[in-house]
Amino acid sequence: MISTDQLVFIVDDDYRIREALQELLASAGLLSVALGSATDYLAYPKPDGCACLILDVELPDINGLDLQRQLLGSDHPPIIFVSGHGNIPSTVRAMKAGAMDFLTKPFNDEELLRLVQTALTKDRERRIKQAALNSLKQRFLSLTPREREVLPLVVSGLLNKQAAARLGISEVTLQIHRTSVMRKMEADSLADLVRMAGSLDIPLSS
Amino acid sequence: MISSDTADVLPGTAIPNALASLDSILRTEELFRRPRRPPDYERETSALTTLVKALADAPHTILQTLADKVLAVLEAGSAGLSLVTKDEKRFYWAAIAGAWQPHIGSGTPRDSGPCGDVLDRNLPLLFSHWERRYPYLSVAVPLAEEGLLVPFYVNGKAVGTIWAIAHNDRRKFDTEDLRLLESMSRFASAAYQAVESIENLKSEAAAREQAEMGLRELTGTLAAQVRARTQELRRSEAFLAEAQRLSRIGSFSWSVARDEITWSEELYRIFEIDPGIPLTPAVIRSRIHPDDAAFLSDVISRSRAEAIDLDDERRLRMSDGSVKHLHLIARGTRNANAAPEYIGVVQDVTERRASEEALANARSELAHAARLATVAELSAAIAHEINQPLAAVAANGAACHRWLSAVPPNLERARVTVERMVRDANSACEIVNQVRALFKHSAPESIPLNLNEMIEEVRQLMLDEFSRHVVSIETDLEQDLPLSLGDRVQLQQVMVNLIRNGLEAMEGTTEGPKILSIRSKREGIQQVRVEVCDRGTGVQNPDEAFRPFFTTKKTGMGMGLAISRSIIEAHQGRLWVAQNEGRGATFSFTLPVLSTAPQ
Repeated sequence: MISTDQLVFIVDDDYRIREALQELLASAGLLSVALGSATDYLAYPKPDGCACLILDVELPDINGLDLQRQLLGSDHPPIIFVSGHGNIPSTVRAMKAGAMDFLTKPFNDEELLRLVQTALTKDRERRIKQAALNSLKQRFLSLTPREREVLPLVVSGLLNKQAAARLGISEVTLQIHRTSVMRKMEADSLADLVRMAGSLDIPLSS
Repeated sequence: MISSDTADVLPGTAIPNALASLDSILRTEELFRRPRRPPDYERETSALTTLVKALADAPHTILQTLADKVLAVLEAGSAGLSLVTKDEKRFYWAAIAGAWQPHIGSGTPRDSGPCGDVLDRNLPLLFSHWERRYPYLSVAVPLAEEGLLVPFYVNGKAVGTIWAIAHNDRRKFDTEDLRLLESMSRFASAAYQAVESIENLKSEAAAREQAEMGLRELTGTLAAQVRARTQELRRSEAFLAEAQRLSRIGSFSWSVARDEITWSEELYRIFEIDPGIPLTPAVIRSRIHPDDAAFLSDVISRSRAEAIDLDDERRLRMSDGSVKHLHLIARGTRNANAAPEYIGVVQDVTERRASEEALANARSELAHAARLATVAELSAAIAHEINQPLAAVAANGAACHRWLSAVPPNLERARVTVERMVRDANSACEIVNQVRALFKHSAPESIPLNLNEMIEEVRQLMLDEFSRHVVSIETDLEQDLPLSLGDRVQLQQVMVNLIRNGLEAMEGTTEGPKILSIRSKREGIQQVRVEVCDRGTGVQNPDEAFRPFFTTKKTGMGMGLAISRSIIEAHQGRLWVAQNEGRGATFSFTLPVLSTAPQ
């Protein structure tokens, strides 16, 4: 009934809200962890699974928006803000910083659950994308220095002869490096390799 | 009596064991047997004439003149006068001529000497070598071969002797010498009296002169004092004028009987009247604010009839239309004819008035702003506090609905959520009640209150709580604390809140004894102050502590201190908290005492 591969974090200083949210999520078959402060949340060991965060704006230690700012740029689950009294500036700030949504208390259960589901799905997708990128990075790191020089030239559309001339090597040698790159990067085609280079933010050579 | 201190008798020499008897040194009987020389009347008359003249011309030296004449007339070696001193213990050699002149001022004891012998026998005596009986006279050189002494009298009393000495045996006194000496002794009496009266006069004159000198000095001192006082007066007048100018206080006096009004310079300045213009009622009236004119004429007519005291604020209207506020104080007295006289001061309080008004305006604006801010803050806080349990109720309700709709329904979880809904709904109601209580405080009932009694009542009420918290209570209440005006129940609630706050602050402490002290005392003359001092964890942020719904405790709404503050402020008092020097915190509040409390 309750799925264990996904987790909802609740950070709110009011124990009544924590209890009620946990109960609501449980009734929808969602596993949750409730924490009373931002510090507790940061200290909590995050399991390797998809997750989302229901974050109260008014927290006793760190303000919810500040916590969001701290998390920004790191690998963190989507945030759904809740607030006792939503004021416009803080809502705007939260949304700009990438909050999934901003709910004011008391909240509609359907809406909250829908948002939680969306957030979890989004996080799952994010995690898959992240995993693919990680694998791609691993493959890129397995290339030799010469192969890493060859890759940008190839994906930039240069002919083997041109690329070989740039590097001052023979066309035959370049062909060997190119085959090795395709193999190591697990690219099915040149188009596939070009896409991978795009994901890795490898600059094109003109 | 001649008042003159005698020096000691001639410096003494050792007295030989055997002194000659008086008779053995006397030659008086022999004197009468000696051949008598013929009298020289011409010489005698001339001497007496000189003496009489001297008495008239130079009475203060008459005794010496007498001695000189005796010496001359008797052709003696030395001659002089001895006077009995005031204390009658000695003879004083008042005047001497001849060889013994250097001994002027010396003398002999009354009871042991030739002069004493003469007075004792009350007869003229002739001595020969008296140093044989009176050895101290052996130092008076040249020694006396013979000495002839005659007593003289004033009003029948012997006052001295007049004498002549022969220093060698070529000159032997005879009865003619005795006659001359007796004749001169009568003159001596007159001279003595003259000298005495001169002395008296002299001392009187000296006394008068001294008195005059004293008087002159006194006059001088007085004159100097008058000069100094005058200067002081001028200075203080200058000071007064300056002080009047600085403080904008003018003074005046008004004698009703003489219809005389005197104004100080500053008063002219305040009225903006040229000091040269005579002060007529019309001139003064021209400056009085029309609204106060009726009052003024009423006051003036009353002041004429009886001596009254005035203390009032009135206005002037200047020629440019501006208004001045004056504070007038006058003291009425009656002069000797029972006519009223006035002395008074007038202060220009226009600026003070203006700044008071500005201050009052600023205060009321500030109070209004503060009230608005408080209301906004309070409503936000209240909304949040009520929202929390309601949000929980809504979420629990939704969860409950889901548990019941599940197949099969999860009744166990549904029951838990319903219980929580009831609990949270009640907590929302509780907040609503507290808020209602908070706003009820806006109009407190005002009755005279003895704060000490109120503290004692609260202490009694809370004895159980003290023992439950294992806290001992100390009270230090000032005797005869003035009464305050307030709402008994509300102030009790403040005390309960503060005490409970203190008890809870000490809940977790393990260090030292848990003591809660309550003090009451006067604060100046217009306020009383109550302090509740705990030894707990203290207050980290004194300003936060009074914010509504602020709490550091697991339980409690955080409304106690906010409500307490609003109560105290509604009573025109102040409630604040300060960290103790040692452990804990002290909550203090002040309330105005009854006399100054708003009615």
